[in-house]
This record gives sequence, C-alpha cells and structure tokens, in this order.
Amino acid sequence: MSPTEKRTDGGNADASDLPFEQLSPDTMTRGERYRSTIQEWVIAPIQIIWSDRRARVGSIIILFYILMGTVGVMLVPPTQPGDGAQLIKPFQNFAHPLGTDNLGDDLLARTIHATPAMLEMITAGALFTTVLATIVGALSGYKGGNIDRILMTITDILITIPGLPLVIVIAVILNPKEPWMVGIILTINAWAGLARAIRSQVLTLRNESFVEASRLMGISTPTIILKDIVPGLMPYITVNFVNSARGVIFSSVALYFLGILPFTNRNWGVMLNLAYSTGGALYSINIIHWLLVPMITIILLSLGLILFAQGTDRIFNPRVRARHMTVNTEQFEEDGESRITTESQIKN
Amino acid sequence: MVGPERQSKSTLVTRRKILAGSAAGIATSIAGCSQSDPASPSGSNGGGGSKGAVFTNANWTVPTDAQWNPYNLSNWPVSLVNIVYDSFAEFNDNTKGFEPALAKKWTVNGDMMTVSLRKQTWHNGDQVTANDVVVQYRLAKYEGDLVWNYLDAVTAKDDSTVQFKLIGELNPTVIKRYILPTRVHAPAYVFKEYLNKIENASEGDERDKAIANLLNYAREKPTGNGPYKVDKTTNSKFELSVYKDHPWADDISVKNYEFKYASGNQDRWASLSSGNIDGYGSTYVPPDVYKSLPDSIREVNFTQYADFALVFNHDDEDFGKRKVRQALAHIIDRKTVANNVGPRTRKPIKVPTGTSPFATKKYLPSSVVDSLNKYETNEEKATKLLQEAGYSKEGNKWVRGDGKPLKAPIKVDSGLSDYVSGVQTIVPQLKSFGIQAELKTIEGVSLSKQIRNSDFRLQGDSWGEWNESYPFFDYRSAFVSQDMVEWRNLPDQVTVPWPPENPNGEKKVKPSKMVIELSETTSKEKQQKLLGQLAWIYNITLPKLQMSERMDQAWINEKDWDVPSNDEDVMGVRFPAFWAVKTGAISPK
Repeated sequence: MSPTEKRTDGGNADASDLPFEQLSPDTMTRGERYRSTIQEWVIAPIQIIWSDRRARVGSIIILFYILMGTVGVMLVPPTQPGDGAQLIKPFQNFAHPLGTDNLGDDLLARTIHATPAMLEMITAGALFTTVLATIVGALSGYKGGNIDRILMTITDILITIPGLPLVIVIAVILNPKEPWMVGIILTINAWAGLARAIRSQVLTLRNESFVEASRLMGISTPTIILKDIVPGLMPYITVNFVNSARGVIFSSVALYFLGILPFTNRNWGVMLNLAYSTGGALYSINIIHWLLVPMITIILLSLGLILFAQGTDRIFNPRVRARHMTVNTEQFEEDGESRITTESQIKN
Repeated sequence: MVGPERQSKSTLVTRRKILAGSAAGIATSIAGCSQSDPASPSGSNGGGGSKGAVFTNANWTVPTDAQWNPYNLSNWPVSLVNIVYDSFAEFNDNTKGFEPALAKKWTVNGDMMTVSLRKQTWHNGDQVTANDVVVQYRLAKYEGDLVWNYLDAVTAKDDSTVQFKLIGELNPTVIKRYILPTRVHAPAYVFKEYLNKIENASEGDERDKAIANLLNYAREKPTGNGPYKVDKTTNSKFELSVYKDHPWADDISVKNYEFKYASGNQDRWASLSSGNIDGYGSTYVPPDVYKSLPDSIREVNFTQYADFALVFNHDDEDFGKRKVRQALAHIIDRKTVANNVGPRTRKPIKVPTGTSPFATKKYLPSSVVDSLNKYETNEEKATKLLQEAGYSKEGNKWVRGDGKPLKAPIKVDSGLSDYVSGVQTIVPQLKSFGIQAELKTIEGVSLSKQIRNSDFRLQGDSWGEWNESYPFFDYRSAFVSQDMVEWRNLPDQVTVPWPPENPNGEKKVKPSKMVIELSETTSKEKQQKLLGQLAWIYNITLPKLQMSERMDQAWINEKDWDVPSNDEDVMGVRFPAFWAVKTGAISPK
C-alpha cells in the first residue's frame, strides 16, 4: 500500500500508522547478526548440553573419540605385524601400553587407527537412517492420500523383513569395503520403523494453526515440511540419530565378529573376531587384553552416545522436561501432605 | 592315455575329495570323559572294570540331521565314518607304510591291482564282499571320482577278491595311494538299485536324473562294517558300541564310544581347557590356549604336507608375469608369515619346490634340489626382477610401464582366520617395498564363486594335497587340477631354463603332461627324473608361492586312558582318537 493510497474509510493512510511499515528503532549490524546466530545455534546448545550432567559426560566421550580419529591418528604412527613381540600384556611395555596381538601389532595404535573408519561408518549409517526416515515420515504424514499409502506400504514391507539376515545377504552379495557403504548397508531397513514413528508425529502437527496458515499462504510443501514441521520434530530426530549411531556400532561389530563383513581394515569388530577365532582369547586369561581393548573401546563409545542421547532428549523435549519438573513438584507436595497428615494425627 | 582333459569337471569331486581327505582331519573330537568321576557309575560297562569306559569325541553334524548316503554330501557325519566303516588300509606316518584293515593283502602286477578282503560282515550280519566294492566304485565313476582316470574296470574275482584293471602299467605308489585309503561305505544291497537305474538309463537327461537321485538320497540309518556300530542317535549325540562280530572286537577295550555335537573350534577349546575330553581328531589350538591346557591333555602331531600359499591368477597383467611372481618371493619373508599363521604348528617353506620339505628330501634328486632358487628375502634381487619386467620406482611406489601404480589386492576367505593372519603379514611387507598391497577378506561361498570366475589377482589359499607325502599328488594339484588350469589360468606350456641340474639353454615344457607321465611310469629312475623336472619347473615358474607347512594337532586325554607314546607305530595313523582306539591300543586305566 503506497502512502498516498486512499483508505477504505475515505481518509489518506499515513505510513507511520501502519504497523507493517514501522521500522525498529534499533538496527543490527552484520556482526551482531552473526553473533546472534552463533549464540542461538552454537553457544546456547553447548550451554544447554553442558548444564546436563549426562549430556556433558556423553559429549566429552564423543569428543574424545572424534579427537582420537583426527588428531590421534596423526600423533600415533600406524602399526604393522612385527612391530612388537607377540602378545605382550598391557601396561608392561612403554612402547605398547595396551599390549600387542598375535602378529605383534600394537593394540593402542590399531584401536586409534580404526577410529576414523568406524566414525565414518557410524555417521553414514546414522545420517542415512535419520534423513531417509525424516523425509519419508514427514512427506507421508503431511501429504496423506496415495503418497502416504505408497510410502507406508514400502515402509511396512521393510519393517517386516528381518534386519540381520537381510544385511547378511546384502553384505555377502555386495561385499562392501568403504566404511560409509558398510554404514548404509547396516541400516538398510532400520529407517523404516523411525519413518513410521515420524509420520505419527507429523500427523499431530499437520493441522496445527501455523501449518494451516502456511498452507493458506500458498507456501510450497517442501518449505512447510522443512520450516514448520521438521523443527518441531528435531528433538525426536536428534535422539534417534544418536540411537542409530549406536545401532550401527553394534551391528557392525557383530557382523565383523562373525566374519560376514570383509576385513578391509582391522577395526574393533575385526580385532574381536581375531582375538576369539585365532587367539582363543576367551579361553586363556593371558591374552584376554586382546579381547578387552576393542570391547572397552566399543562400550565406552556406546556409553557416550547413550548419555548424549539421554541428555539431549531431556534438553530438546520440553514435554519430558516439564514432566520431570511436575513429578518433582508433586513429589514434594505429596511429601508435604503426608507430613501434615502425620502432624494432625499426632495432634489428634 | 590319461590327460588333463579326462579330469572331471564336476565340482562335486572337489568337495568329495575334501570330505574324504579330511574325514579324519575334520573329525575333531570333543570329549567329556563323562564317567571320569569315580562316584558316577554310569556307562562303565566295559574296559576292564575301569571307572571310564565311554570314549567321547565330537562331530560337526547335528546327530538327528545326519544321513548315511556317502554320495550325498550334506550332513554326512565325517567323524563317525572313521570308526563305523573300515577302509582297505590306512597310511601310517610313523612307518611310512600302509596298515591293513578291511584288505588283508594287495598286489600291483602290471596293469592289475588285486585287493583281498578279510572276512568281515556288515552290521546287519551280511558278508562284506567284493561285489560291495564293485558297486561302490562303479557309482563313484558316475559321481566323477578322479580315480577313474586310472581305471578301466573294477571286477569281483570271487567274494573276497577285487580286481582293479588299470589303464596300463602305472606308478604303483600313485595307484596304491589312490585305492587303499578307500573306505567301503556303500553296501550293495542298498546301492545296487541306484547303480542299475543309472546304468539302465539312456545317456543324457535320463542318466543325469538317475545320478541326481543317488546324490539326493538321504539314508537315515547306517549299515556300517567298522568296529563300532551306531546304537542310538539323539539331538545332542551319537551313542556307539563295539560290533561284536568285527575281527578286532575282542582286542578293543573301549566298549562304548560317543560323539557329541560341537559346532566349532571354540567348543573344542573349551572342553580341552576344562580337561574334560577323551580325544579329538585334528583340532587347531592357539598357542595360549595350549599353554593353559591341563597336564593330562596330550598333543599328537602329524605333518600335513600342505598349507598356506600366495596364489596367483596367471592371466593377470602383473602377476601373470613370472618375474613379478619371483620378485614377490624375494620380498615376502616366509619365516615371519609362517610364524604369524601359526607359531607352534607352522614352519616356513625354505625352498619352493611345489611339494613338502619331507617329500623334497625323500623323493627329489639332490642334483636338482641343489640348483633350485631358494628365494631368500632380498630387496636387491626383487628390484632387479621388477625392473626387468618393465616396472620402475617413482618415489616410494612401484609403477608399471603405463605409469599406473603396481597394486596387489589379496583376497582371502574371511572364515580362515589363520590365512587372514598370513595375508595380514604379507600386505605390510609388500607395502614397505612400494607395492600397493591390500587385504580383502571375503566370505567363503562368495569367494569360491569369484575364484571360479577367475575374478581375483592374488589369493591367500593353500598349496599341496592334504595328508599326502608323495609329490605326484602335489604336482597334480599344482599343474593339472581344474582349480589351476581353469580358474587360475595356468598356461599349459612354459619355457624354462634347461636342463634342471645345469641349465645352459631353454626348453618349452608341458608340466601337466609330465605329471601324467609320472603316474604312468613304473621305472623308479624315470619317476625320480620327472619329479626333479617338475620341482624345477615349479621353482622357476611359481604357480603358487608356498609359505608354510603345517602340523596337524590331534588330542588325547590321558587322565582315564592308557595311551601309547607318540613315537609308537600305532600312533602314526590319523588319528589316535580313532585308530589307536579301534585297534585296542588305547585302554581304560
């Protein structure tokens, strides 16, 4: 509306009367905008995570593994058979703090140098699961109709197929070597369950007033899904991302242990397999470290991811947080009542 | 004339050979001398009134799934076969001769081998006759057994005499080693019907169908002829007892035998560690598990005459070149490889001759052995060979003539963890020399399919013929087998420096032809000459690069049993848990 345009009541509109045309008395410089963005997306989440004890410990553990896979591989030289004597026990030789395996490989170096590939595999698997599940779930839940039916039929079929045998068959046929490929194969049907859950969540959001408003304004479906729907699901998606990562670790280790996935690098699962199958580490206490080193590595990373997921769940999900608070308050009130009752009983 | 073209292409044969060859080998035996507790009265029904008279062993097959048609490969209970059926004779590693069993004597005269059977009955009381053997051999022909490369006919002269008409005068060592270990396990009263159907069928589809019927037939209960008969089969074990009409029955003091189901080596290690076993066949035990074994567990070693090797695709643009293969032989430290594949049980092959160090010493002419290339670790020699083959070093990496890096992807069966260790040792050695080596573990079934399609460049696999010390069998597998000729693309004709003892020229030779010649010559001199020539060709051309030789580990628990010492003759037949028990050499304390 131009400032000189006639108003419907006959008068002339003044630009300053219109709320839409009013400018903020304060202006933000570009630097301030960046700072604000960083504050909102980086510092605030870190502060929130740091405020929760579980998320804090989880983040430290995950950070430790990321450092191990990036800086660690540069600090610790790779190992090869014959670097040390065979089967040195841990904490006995300064050159091999965690001991060696049957080939004389240093277990510490082997563990560290397996990290980048493991992280790549875990990230690929978790990203694949969550991105695909979110796209399918959100699209299906929001659009409904035939798209919903087709997508959910595919999802249901994939849910029905037992995951592990499917992965074994695909792994044997494709014989994957690249860690990211292994990650995707391991989660080949893991996304289906999550997609269904996300669809249900979307169904509760699709008729919210703000979504309705966007739809009436003619905003495109992808934009609505991306800007209105998905942000509401972010807590749920984040938690599932971390859980998928954990799932990838476990299934990869299981399949490497069983010897189904090819040993292109000696990752933690391969180390376990060799300790069990060539060394008989289960039957001799002398070489138990060969089994324990990869096991503890896996357990610690898994613990880190669980703690992080639990922490983020509580932080992201206001409902969970509110419930926690409510329960605490109720608890307090109940206690108060019982105290009063007891006091009144005593008085009587 | 027998040529490679007469070799059967049936994959069944390979599998059958593996089964037959390793029947004893695979037949690892878990044992819980379950009656070792003096307070337990159960099972002490024999053995001179001792506290333990049930000998416990292990079997790979779930007992209730087992079937007893020897031509059907699925669920054939390989361990039990060793004591339920008798062979003609068993090879003794300690005496290097044959121990008679079902055959009381045998002779090879010209083109005829005659085997005389002792008086013995099947477990249903029927006589074991020459006719049973004839039926079994004729069925083996349709099944594709390689022995028929050397046989014209098998006939029964009378009830107890089998005559093997050979295709001509043959090397008696070869023919005896082919025929004598045959286990007689197909009673004619059951299998004659299948033979008739096959022989009466017209060639083509009808015959194929009749053969398929035989291969698919699952026989529920065995009619054995060995010293033990199967009494009872449950989900978890087979229970056997001495068959009283067997010729050795009176000498056997272990009256009851049982096989428990055990699915893997780990099960066996657990039983060994707990000391609760009577005896195993061959079971690999890692050094640290070995260290933790109770004192009563005794190890009995047998040379395998075969083991780990680096195998080449001879059609490969890099590894098809002889000089590249020779360079690898100079780069790889076979001692370290052998040590990593199995520190206690593996020895490196010092000079690759294609056969075992034992056979090299015993059968090959020393004049040839002295002139063989030892391929000791030597980077200078390897460098020279690679340069001569058209490769050059750029920085730290070897590159081909076209500028591309020399890559060495080595495939290995992920289930064979000792071979995986071997390749893991080879890879860094090649890498540090500047060859881009890479380990590729592949699940067994998938890998064997790839190998059959020649879809590989290098493979960590085996050399040699298991359990055989006569080099003919190793050279047959190296130069004539379908494995090498069709899958590994070994060329039929090669040019090598000649003569082997003092090479001053070159000659085009066909090793496969020489292997066949070796099997067909009766002259000891000519045999030795041919063996020397084959060793020379192998040493120069390296069809496979032998890495190590292996000792089989067999196990006996002395806690409840009197066991002869390892160097006694009776302990030389594979394996004591079968042979020494069934001949009465092992008895309860």
